[in-house]
Amino acid sequence: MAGSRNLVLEGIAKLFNNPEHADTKVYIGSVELPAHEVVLAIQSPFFKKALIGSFQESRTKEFRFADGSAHAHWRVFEYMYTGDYSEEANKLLDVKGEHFRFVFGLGADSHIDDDELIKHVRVYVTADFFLLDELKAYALKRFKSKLQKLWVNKSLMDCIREIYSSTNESEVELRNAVVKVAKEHLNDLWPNKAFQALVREGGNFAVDFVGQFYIATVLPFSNQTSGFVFGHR
Amino acid sequence: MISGRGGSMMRGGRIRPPRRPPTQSNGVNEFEQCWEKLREALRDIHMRNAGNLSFEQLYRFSYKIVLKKAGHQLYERVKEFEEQWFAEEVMPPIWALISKKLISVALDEVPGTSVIERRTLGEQFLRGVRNSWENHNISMNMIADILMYLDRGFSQDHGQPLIYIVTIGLYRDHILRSSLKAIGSDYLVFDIFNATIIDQINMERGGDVIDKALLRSCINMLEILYETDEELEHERLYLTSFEPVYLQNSRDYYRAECDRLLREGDASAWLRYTQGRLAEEADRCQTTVSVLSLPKIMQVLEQELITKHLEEFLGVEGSGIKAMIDNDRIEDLSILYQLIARVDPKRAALRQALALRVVELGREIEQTLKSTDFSIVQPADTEEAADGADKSKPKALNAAAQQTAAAIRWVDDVLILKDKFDRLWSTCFAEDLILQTALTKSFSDFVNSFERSSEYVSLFIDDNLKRGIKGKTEAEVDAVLDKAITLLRYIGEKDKFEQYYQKHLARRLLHAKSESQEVEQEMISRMKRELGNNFTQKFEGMFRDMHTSRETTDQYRDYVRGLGEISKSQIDLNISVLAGNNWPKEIMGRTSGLADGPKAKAIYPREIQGLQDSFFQFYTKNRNGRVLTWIGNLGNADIKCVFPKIPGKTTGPLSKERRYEVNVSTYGMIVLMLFNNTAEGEWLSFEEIQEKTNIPQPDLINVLTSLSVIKTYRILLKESQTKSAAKPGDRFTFNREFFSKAIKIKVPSVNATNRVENDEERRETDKKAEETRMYITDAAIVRIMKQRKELGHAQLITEVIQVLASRFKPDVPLIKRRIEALITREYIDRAELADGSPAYQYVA
Repeated sequence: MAGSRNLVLEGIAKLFNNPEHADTKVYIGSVELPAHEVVLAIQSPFFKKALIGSFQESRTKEFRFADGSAHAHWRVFEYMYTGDYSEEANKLLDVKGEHFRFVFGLGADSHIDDDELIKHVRVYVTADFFLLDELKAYALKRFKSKLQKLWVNKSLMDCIREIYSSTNESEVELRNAVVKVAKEHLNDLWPNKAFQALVREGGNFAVDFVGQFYIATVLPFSNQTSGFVFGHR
Repeated sequence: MISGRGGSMMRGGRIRPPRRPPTQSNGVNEFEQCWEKLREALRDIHMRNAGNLSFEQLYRFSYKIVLKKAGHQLYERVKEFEEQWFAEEVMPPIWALISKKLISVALDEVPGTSVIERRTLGEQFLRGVRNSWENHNISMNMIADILMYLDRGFSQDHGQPLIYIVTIGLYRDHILRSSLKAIGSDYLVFDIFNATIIDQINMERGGDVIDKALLRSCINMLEILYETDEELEHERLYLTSFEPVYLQNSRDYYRAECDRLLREGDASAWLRYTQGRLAEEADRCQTTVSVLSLPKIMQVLEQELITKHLEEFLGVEGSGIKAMIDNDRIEDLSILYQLIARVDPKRAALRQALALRVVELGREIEQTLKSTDFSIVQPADTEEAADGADKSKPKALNAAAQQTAAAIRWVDDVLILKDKFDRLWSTCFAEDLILQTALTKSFSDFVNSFERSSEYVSLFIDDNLKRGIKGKTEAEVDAVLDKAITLLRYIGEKDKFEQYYQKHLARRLLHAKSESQEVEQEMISRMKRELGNNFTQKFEGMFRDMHTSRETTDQYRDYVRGLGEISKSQIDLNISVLAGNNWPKEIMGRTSGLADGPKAKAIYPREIQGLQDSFFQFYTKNRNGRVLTWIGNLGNADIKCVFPKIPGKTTGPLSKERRYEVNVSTYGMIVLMLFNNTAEGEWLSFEEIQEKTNIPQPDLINVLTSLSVIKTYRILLKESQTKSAAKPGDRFTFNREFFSKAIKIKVPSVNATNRVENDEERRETDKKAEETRMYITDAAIVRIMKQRKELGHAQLITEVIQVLASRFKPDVPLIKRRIEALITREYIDRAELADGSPAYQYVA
């Protein structure tokens, strides 16, 4: 049983970006990615409804994606076939002049891969769009481990801005991760003008950031009070 | 659509995260743009015109709106749109279907509308609702699909019901729950809807063909809808609104049906009707109603059709349980069992009915036995030998044989009855263990209520071991043994059975009447398995004695040969040495010198005495101090008899000298040898014979009767020449004119066959059993007390009963009497427990 299971998984992994048996076309920008209805539909509620329902895609079996990060899209599909995604940029996407729209103002030339830190955020956001919960968890994990080393990068501030702009309020995981790092390394970050500028902008990040200190200061104070009462006796 | 602001951001430029106040105007525009697109799409979807809409685009609109924190607005807009759509497009066609006529037909049971009219009207209404609902449901599913991100990112997080739930709920709130006041009725649409569905179902119950798929779709709607948007599992409209009405209606329907069946008074029809309806309603749950109702509707049927009137149907004359059992109505009983098994894990009604019938039929067997005349051979016997022409003639049987025939008949009848119920049990009652226990108990009850059962069972075995198993295959013999054991199991007074079996076995062994040694042994080992070692100890001892006796006989022959003096007049001796304990007392006791003193010792002829002495000498050589007592009424002897030629006869058998080998009992031999010394024509009186032989009178009567009454064996002539038994005052002489077709003649001893005891013998047996029980009870009490040292009264009684139950049914007064006796004999002493209750103490 286990053997045949592996065979299935390996078989599916081999089908990634493979026209064999492909019945669905996915365009990431202008790059065509041959895809397989079953693989997409059994994992993503988005694809399931799109392919089964009575909308246009159920007939055409064609999807065109031009919003967000092209590389993140590629990685999402890679994950759906192989259960993993690579750090390296895919060369196929290296089409000069190709332009991807970012939902809320951010955008990138598609041939330039996403920044090392931000690429996981974008995989997370794209996975959220396709309602792929497992991938979200996986991207979050990889993002957190990257963050351990890369918090010193200048791109941290942009990364925080993007997190707060491209996720829903209920998506707290990414936000918590960066707020925690910011607090941990407060002494190193605060002197950085770019960080202060970020806080000055206000918004939810500033609130979450300050919120971190609320718990930390109140607790010792209450301890002291009880100590004082005890001593007075 | 929002376009990207170029790639500059990635190179370190600052961007502002979107915040509500500054981006409000922009956001509103974007929202309105997106909503406008979505609104058009919703309309298209409702109009079945979604084929050209891009799912990805519509999905992305709601995604964007949610990210822009406008999910709530979208949610409200969608709700608003749908409510409006519902009011304008969905409701009017439904209202058009509801007419006054429909209301009155569905709910007021107006007489005068034909079934066809009612059905058409109902179907029309249901079909309208179904179509409208299905359209609505499909549209709402599609809309929910494109708003999936709204449901995920907004509704769930804000504790709002999903879009789909809210929009299908419209159907419940605005259609099903609307009042019909507008057309002058106090009912809700729901009431018509439910009543119409149930009306259709009742039409089907009555035999009409209805559109099941239509009903199933309507009910499916009720399964999908809930009381509230919280969608609690037990609040499906089906469960809260439809099912109670449906169940109540079904209950009324089947109650009426059951009353009709009761009036018709045919239990067989009732069984089939109920079985059919159960299957039908189960099927209906699958095809028409909902499987959710399966257990409940089954319960309704079980209550109304089975439980409520079970007793009445079982009691129906001619088709109730009695008729089913008596006429072997296998199918009826099978259905009955299945029905009862559904409603009662204890099967009480069936159990009692079966038990009662078994006891009744058992009593009938007894009655038949009493009223049957066994003096002629029963038809059952003649059938077996139908080819033998002379057998078909009724043949007179003597009293003893009649009784034996009655015993066999009783056992056969009981076994037939047992077979019958076994068959019913395995074919109809699924080998139900509860019923088995009940049947066993009933059989046991009536077998034990018949006072002769122990004796009859032993006689049945006797009869089979003597002749019944002749020519039977191993399997058939096995079956006979099984039957015997089955009956034995029922018998409560095992000690009585033991006595009878011992007696009958003794006769079989000593008279070599056993058909097969092997089968005898098999019977014993089966009893041993069933009742334990103790029970068969004596029987095995008897077999051992017989075996040792054969060896002893051989050894004695060798011994005699070794003496060298084999004279022609040497008598061949076959001896059976019986150990006193193993054998029945009446066999050992009646002639035994031990019990009755020397007067019972028969006087043997000289030749025989010599032989006895010789054997005694041989026997005591190795066994010092043993006493041998000769039991004359059990042995037998082969005697060569010479009957002289009768002077004056020139033809016929009497004209020649005739030599016969006559086999008679040992006493018979003694008597016959007396006549060796009488002159021709000399008569000996009964008293003379008695004096010369010292044979106990009852035995002597038997011997003389056997030799003088029946013509075939009339070696002695008796005066008075009657057919009655020999008696004191008769006189006898050697029958010189005796002749026989056979050379070897076996004179049957009158008392040697096993037969039913007469009343006197029975009293004797009972008395003996009573005595034995006394001793056994004593032993049990002492054994228990010795072990326990001190024991409460009640507990002692309980334990004694436990110990004795395997042998007989001990009664408490007997135990109490024995306790008293043991106290007098100072085996035990009275004592008191801590709480003051009476107890006993063991006296060492």
